Amino acid sequence: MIGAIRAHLLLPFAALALVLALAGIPIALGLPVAPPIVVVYPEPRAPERITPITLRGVRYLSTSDLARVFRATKYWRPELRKLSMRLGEHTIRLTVDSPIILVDEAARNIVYPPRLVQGAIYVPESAVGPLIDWGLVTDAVWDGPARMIRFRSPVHTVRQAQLWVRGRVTEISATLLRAIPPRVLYATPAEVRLLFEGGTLDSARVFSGGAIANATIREVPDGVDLRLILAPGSEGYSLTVVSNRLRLAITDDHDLVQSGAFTRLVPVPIGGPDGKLRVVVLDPGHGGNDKGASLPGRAVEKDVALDLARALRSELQDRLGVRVILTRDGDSDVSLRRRAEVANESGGDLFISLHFDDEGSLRSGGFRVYTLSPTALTGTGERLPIVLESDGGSAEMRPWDFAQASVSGASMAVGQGVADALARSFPQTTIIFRTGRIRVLEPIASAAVFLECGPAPRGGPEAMSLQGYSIREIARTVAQAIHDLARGGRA
Amino acid sequence: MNRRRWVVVIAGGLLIIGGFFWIARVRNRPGLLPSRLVPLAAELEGVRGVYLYFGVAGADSLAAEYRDVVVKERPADQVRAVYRELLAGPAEGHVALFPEGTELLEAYWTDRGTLYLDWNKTLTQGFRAGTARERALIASIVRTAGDNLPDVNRVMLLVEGEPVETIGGHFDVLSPLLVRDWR
Repeated sequence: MIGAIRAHLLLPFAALALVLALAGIPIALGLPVAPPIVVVYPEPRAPERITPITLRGVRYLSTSDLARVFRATKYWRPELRKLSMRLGEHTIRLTVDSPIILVDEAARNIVYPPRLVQGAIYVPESAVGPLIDWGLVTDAVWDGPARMIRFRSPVHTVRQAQLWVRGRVTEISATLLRAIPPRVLYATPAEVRLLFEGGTLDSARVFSGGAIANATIREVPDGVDLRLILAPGSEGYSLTVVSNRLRLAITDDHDLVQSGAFTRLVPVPIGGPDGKLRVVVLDPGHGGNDKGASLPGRAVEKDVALDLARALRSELQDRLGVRVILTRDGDSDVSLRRRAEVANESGGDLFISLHFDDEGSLRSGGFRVYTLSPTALTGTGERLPIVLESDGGSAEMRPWDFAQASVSGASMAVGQGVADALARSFPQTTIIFRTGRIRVLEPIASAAVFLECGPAPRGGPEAMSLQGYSIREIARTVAQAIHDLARGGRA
Repeated sequence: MNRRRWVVVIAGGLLIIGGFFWIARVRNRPGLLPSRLVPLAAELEGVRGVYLYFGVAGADSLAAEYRDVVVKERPADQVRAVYRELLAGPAEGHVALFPEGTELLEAYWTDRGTLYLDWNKTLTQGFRAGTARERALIASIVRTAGDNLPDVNRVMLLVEGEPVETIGGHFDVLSPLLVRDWR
């Protein structure tokens, strides 16, 4: 009887104990019990979720998550239990278990103290909004009710590019949000290319119509690149920027060009003063102790590059009758400086550096064509060359390392022409044309291009041959491109 | 019999409750760090979260990895720790870009925001690849500096104390590299 009474008395206690035990499981294990916060980035980056944990009924976020999302760096001092986070120019210092934090040396109260859990520092979720309100994060907003961090798209400086056809004049217009004068890199009867240095673009576009067979506007590391491929018969162009509105017009009307309203389109200047291509300098990469990249079939870059240079020499001599000079015609060490000296001293009209690559674990295959970045030597091109005049004539002086600056536009035209020709000859492979600070090109006083040929994706000389990668065919394609450019046509 | 059963149930319940509260106390105990953050040396000053850049397989781009690194107080020591972690290679299936055996010998920066990184000769002598890998390697070094050292806006690469024209025969590294050019 007494036992039964005790059992009745103990039953509620036992039930309570079980309820407490069940309720304690998530707390004990630190399991996240709060729904995740969604972080929305501008396209194309995908949204992500960060999951808070609940500590004593308060939602907490890991500082590692916050640092990653806001691209902050953090520095943890375990002996002082202090964490400092750097967000751009701002610094936040917090101490575990203290709700007072220092934001740029000013004390702020975030009500709930930061906590140390499993070696990571957690801050209350309610501190995310103030981080943005205090101006520490300027490119994001905190949507409290939706529990969402939304990053704003950057404000672009080149916007709303459009194409208009008005009779015999085709016009590209765009809005410029700040003064970024476009730079004409080259304007030939086949192509016109502009660079908005340092600009950013709202959206890349491709359009066509009228005198423009194909136009692309896209963001590149140097800024915004506008490339117009012109329809046959284009005669002139005009470029104006009025009230932050760009207007680039192309016409095939001879009279408009004659009247002076439009600038005449002229072939890419890769020859001497008379426009005739006489000397081409070919530069097989590496050599001697510098073997270059290891290629499939135990080949090394220095040997294959020399083979290509010799094949291209034959093609150019046969097609154009030009004088071709090799910076090395054997397996010898030639410094980058000496290669440039050979090109400049011989009065070369065009310089082509030839390379091969096996990218291993990175992307393999395809061709890469580089020219010097038009912005790499910004500020030097404008004051070049220094002209010395005397009774016997005049001479130009250019600083050695900046010689390419004044011809970078012509180099880009040639590089693009070679890349297009390779794309037509080898449609199955990747062709990349880009600019960069290629060391061997910088001192070259003439148009200069760097060509790197990658093996076919499956590698090996057999695959290269089967897929049309033979050295002879590369040489033919490049020679044909130069032939076309030298004749004033499109490559 | 019933009485014994209830005693067992209550004792079990109390044990469960006690167990959970014990686990909770242990897991929330301050100073408990994951194994990789355990101090390795007496001079340990702190743990720093850093972004490290590695190559992406099958692409010409870089991917950032966020990692906690054990660092000392001195800024130059912090730079060395960051690059030691970069040299250690990726943890998420990305591509290591440095030639094997590359070491950072010295690091210092000027008050004008130029970081000097002095590497051993393996950086140039061990590099045997084309422009894609060389470009990725330079971008990895420069972006790692730009993202983790806010006062650095230029990076100068040295090899055993001397400037070099290129790492692999292609890109100019003779003058300081602007962080904004390699983003």
